[in-house]
Amino acid sequence: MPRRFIHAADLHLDSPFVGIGTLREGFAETMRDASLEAWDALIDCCLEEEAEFLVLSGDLFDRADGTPRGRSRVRRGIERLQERGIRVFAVHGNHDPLSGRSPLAGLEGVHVFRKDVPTSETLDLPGGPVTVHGVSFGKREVSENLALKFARGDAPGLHVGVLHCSLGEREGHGTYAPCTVADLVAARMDYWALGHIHAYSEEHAEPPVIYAGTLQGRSPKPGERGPHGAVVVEFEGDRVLEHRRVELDRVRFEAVEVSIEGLDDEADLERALRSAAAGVVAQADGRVVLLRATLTGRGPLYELLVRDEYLTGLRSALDDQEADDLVWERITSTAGPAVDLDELRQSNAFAAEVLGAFDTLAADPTELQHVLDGLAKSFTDTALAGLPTEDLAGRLAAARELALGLMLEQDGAA
Amino acid sequence: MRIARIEAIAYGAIGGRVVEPEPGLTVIHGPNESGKSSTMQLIRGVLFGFPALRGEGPRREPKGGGQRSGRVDIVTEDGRRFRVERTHGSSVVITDEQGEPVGDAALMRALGIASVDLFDRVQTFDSRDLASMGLLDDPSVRAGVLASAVLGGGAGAEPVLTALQKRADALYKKQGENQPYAHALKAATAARRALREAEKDAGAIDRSADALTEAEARVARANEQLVAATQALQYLDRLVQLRAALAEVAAVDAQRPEASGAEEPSVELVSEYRAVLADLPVAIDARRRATQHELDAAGEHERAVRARERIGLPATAPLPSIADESGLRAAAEAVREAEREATRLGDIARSAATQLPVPVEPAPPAPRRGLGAALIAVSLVAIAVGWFVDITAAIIGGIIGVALGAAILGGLGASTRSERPQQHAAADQHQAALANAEVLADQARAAWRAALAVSGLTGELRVDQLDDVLATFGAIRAADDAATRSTVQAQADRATADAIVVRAAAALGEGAPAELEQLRTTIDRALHDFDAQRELAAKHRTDLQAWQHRRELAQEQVDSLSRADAALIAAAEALDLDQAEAQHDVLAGQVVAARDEHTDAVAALGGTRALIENDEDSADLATLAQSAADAEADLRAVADEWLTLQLAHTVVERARDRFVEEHQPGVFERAATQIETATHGSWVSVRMPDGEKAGARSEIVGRDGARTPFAELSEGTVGLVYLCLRAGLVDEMHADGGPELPVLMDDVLTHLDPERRAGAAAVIADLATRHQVLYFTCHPEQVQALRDADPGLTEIVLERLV
Repeated sequence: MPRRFIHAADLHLDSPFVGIGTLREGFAETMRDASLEAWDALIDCCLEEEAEFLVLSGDLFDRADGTPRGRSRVRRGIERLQERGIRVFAVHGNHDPLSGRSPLAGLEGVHVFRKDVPTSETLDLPGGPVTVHGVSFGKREVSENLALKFARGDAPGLHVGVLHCSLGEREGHGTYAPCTVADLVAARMDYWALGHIHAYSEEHAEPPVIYAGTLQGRSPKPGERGPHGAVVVEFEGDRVLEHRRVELDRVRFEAVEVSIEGLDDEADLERALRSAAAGVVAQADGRVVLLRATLTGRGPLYELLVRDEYLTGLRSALDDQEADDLVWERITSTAGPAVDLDELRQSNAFAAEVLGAFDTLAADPTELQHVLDGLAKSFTDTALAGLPTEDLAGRLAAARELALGLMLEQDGAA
Repeated sequence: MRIARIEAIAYGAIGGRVVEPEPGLTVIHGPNESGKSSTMQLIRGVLFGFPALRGEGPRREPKGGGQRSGRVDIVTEDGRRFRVERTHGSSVVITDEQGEPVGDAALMRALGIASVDLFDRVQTFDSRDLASMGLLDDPSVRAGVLASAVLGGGAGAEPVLTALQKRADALYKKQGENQPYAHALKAATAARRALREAEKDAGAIDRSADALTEAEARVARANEQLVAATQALQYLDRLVQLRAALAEVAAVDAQRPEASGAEEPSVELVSEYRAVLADLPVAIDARRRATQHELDAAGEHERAVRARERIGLPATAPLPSIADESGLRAAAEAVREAEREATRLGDIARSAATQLPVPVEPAPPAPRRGLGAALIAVSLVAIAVGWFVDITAAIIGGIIGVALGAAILGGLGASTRSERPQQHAAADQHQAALANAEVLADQARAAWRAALAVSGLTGELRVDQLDDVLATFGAIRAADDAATRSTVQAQADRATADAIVVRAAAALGEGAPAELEQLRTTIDRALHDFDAQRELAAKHRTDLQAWQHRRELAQEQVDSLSRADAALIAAAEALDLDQAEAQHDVLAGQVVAARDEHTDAVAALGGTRALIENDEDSADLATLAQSAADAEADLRAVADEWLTLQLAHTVVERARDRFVEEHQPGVFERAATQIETATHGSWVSVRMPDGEKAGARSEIVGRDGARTPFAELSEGTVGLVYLCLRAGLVDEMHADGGPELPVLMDDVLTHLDPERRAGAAAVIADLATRHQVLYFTCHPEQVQALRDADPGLTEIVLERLV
């Protein structure tokens, strides 16, 4: 029977979900406790899989000292592991740098890797020795390539590297402890347990270089959508036999796109949205799904969509009729009026000039970002810092359709 | 296209008025309240649609009631004439010269892409527009003014920009308080404030962790103080107790019980005495039985003596043995047999002698042969026994028996032989047999006597007395045996009694009375004394044990308290109890104080722990954090939407600016010509800053190339420049394929001095050479200036309406 360990990362325990706005009544508690329940599920997973140890690859908490509730929950979970002799190896990441005393310090059965310099800990387990190497962030922003400091050493058995790092630049993630896959492979580990990127990612097959992804999706952003959980790693001796994902999230963020093309009225639109929602809900295995819908395409319903508060009202109307396993988080639209853009581009109309301007900007994301940054300067609130960071193309498309719609409206008036 | 006829069907106070402009410059002039502005508005309304009444004001409401309506005849560039008739609230009707409806397309073609906004901004302007020339330094005004004139097709940018801005402003405006952004910001700020407060509390939790450490330290300190005070008190108490324990030991020692002096009899001795005492009844009973047995033996002996006397046996003579008795019996039997035989033979002989022939009865041979054989056998046995055991009587008896037996057997032989019938011979033979029998009888009697002699009996006993004698022998023997048994039992009982007496003597020592009752009395007394002695000894032992127990307890107390610490013992012994009592009170007070402090510290620690545990279990912080995040997300959503609107606005502006940029040189070029004409060459061109560069200034360029900011120009010069720009815009728009539209001017020369007025009139006259210009004014000097500039102009004079 192969031996097992569990790899989890970016748990951000007891931190709020971001960017979801006010949900319908009754979901606050579910959302509030989701990360902690995912943690409990991780502990259950360790016990059920009879794992020999658990590896946490950073950002256990959203801030260095965590929260009282989070610390308490972690303590209880680790006590459960301790009862079964399951050791825990943890590094601190950019969100919870080891700037002072670790919230995990002093817990029985937990090894917290020190900051800045990788160290290793060898376990003499009944099935054979296992050596875990790791290093914690000592501060939020680490620009050093920590991967270069890892060395396998001569100890027999499996060697696992634990690192919170950036393999290249990723949208929505700051670049910390940057390194390359080649740097990691050169360290001759048998498995790299990475943290920082919130979406699961297998960066290298042999040896496995794995981002476990966050335990529980944290927002409606693309990288946070879909299943989240941990990785079960099976091994023998110094060889990883298999690694597989386990879904441990309690709330799932999903997104669907629904085209308004061919839809004649509101009833059609609602049917189309519900049909799209049913698909993702069915795949969520009973979890609460927070669904963001984006309306696309062109059609006569566009005029409906651009009415003030229409999309908000549509969301509320749908949400009010849903069961407990689906929340319509937001409905956005990049849908446009029923015009042929190519034909319009060829025309002599000013709209062609406007389309050209949108096309020019779409072809220059840097300029688009610059424009949005300039606009965003209007906002001084800290919550809006770095506001236009995601789906710039979608935002530009929405803006284009808005402008075109208004221009066509003006034409109609003329 | 140009306007050929204007008819107000129902519009303000000008209902029924008809004005028929000509190509080129038409000056429509009249006093105030002659309906110039209404006529201008009517043209706009008929061509582009009447705005809501509130947009035009109550003055445009038809005096006669009904909807606003009018007709405008237009002549297109290809010379076709159409009538546009529009009633507010109804569709526009386009008819040709024959009055036939021709559809909207004709109007649309005539107007081109022009919108009412374009018409307003480019084709229609008044003195206020000229006065606002300084606003051209505002980038948006500048761009808007320029762009709105030169849109190449479709709708103008300005309405779109306005709509976008309006929607954006509805979401967010700087300093705005009623927009969703303001509300969301307020909510987010409040939520964050609540979160910060909670985080302060969470910080308080962390501080509580510090407080926990402090509370634990306080408990430890209090505990140390409590322990120290308690130990001091305990030490003092220990000294006091030790002192008391030592005193107790001394007191106990003084109370050690004295021994009584009486020697306690040993258990063995007492047991021996008790055993003897227990055996004394046995001894007494044994002696009593012995006496009885002795009496019994004497009685039996007497009875035996009398029996002896009765049969003549000396008192000391031994009784014949059983064998002797057997011999006697055999001898007696032999005598009786011999006599019976002799008698029988005698009878036979006599019978034979007297009654010859006397039948002879056959003698019963078998029993006699048996008897004879038996007798011999017994006799032989007797001899053998007597031989072996040396019993003379037995030997004698045996001899007799053998002889007798042989006699019997011989007699039998003779008898048998005599059976042969020879009666006489037989009688003889019977006589002989009789004689022989008699001999044998004598021999038997002799043997009998011999047997008696052997048995010590007198020879006078007869055979028939044998049974009595033998019975007497039995009685004697039984008496002797009984006497012997009684004697033996008496001896045994006496021996038993004697043994007990000897044992008593051994126990009691010399002087022990031999008499059993005395002995019993002595032993009873001795045992009583023993009991008393033992009781005394036991009491002493009990007292001693009790004392020892007390002593041990006292010592244990001392040991327990002193733990063999000699110094402690010395300190206890040296303790001043009065001082100790005072010191005890002080220390007890310190202990109470320390305990109170400890209790308080423990309670504080518990409270802090409870606080932390409660906080750890509390989801309040998480709830507030989520609320703050939600509020920020709501704020972000508003900002997102605003950004999208503003992005659209920006891109449309860019499109417009790009368009403007492309066409601006033409506008400026045309304007420069007009400026140079209007200023008689003083100024040759204008320059405007690029794009939307804020703070940049518009400048006019002099003949020598010097640049003068608009702000430094006179109001009249600025107005003149603006007029030239507008004229250039109209030309540029038309040159770029835009529609040919009439230009409507309302008192644009009002603020100009005569020189500038003349120059401006020249610009207008020049413009009128390419476009129809309808100039509305109530100022005669303006009419005159225009006449001077364009002598061929058309004048239409309006009368005051009220």
